[in-house]
Amino acid sequence: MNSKRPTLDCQEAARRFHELLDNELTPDVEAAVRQHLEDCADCMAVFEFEEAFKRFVALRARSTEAPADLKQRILGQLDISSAAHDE
Amino acid sequence: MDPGADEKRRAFEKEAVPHLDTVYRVALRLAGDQTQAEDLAQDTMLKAYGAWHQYQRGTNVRAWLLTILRHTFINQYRRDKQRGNTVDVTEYEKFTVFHEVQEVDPEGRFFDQIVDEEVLRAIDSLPEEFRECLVLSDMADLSYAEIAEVVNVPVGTVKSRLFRARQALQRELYEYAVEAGYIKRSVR
Repeated sequence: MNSKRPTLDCQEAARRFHELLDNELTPDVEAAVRQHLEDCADCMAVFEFEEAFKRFVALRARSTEAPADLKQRILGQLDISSAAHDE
Repeated sequence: MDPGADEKRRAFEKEAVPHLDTVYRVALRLAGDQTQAEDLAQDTMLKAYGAWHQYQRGTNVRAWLLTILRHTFINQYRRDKQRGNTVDVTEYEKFTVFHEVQEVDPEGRFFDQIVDEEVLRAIDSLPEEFRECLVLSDMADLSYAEIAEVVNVPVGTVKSRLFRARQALQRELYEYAVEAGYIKRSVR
């Protein structure tokens, strides 16, 4: 699967895909994983699939918003809380 | 109102209140129903306001709010520790759906046909300790170190739970997509 420059093999690179997607790798390791991806089309295909899935989940999971009256209720309670402090 | 209280309220409204949507979303995934999630989110924000002097400026306020939320959930709201334990995440430790779909849909376009409600149902089916890591990462954008602080486990545990949660979620949604006819199961 891998061609040249065997700094990371496919298994080692694949183990770091999620950390790469989450921006959790050190610059050195990130560079090594990205280099592997450039050299290995098979791994790149898997990585792009995982990237698309993460984007999909984040988008769908963030579609819900807090009900409008919840914010008003909380802000109203802050007034009460502040007034109680003033007494 | 004294100037200190006024300043506190201004700072809280500016820095904490904009995160209410995230607080509510996480509350909903932990509590499981809208009424409880609203109460949990409200309790969280009021506790945070009461403890605003403890918030360290310059740190991630979202992570701080979500730490309060999690404590509040565990201490006051959680009734059933087993909620969500319908998926065995250990089964999917090394599973990526890619190898099943690479012949027909290597870019995973079938996922786009799945509606929000189904994605949320699948997230809710994850065991709590995996679900919370997924939600704190993919809904709340916390770093691994911040998640580790919020749930009080080592960073390595966060990494492993997050990985397994995503793989299990991917599998759940793939199975759903097959059943719904969005993609054909590959014969391998």
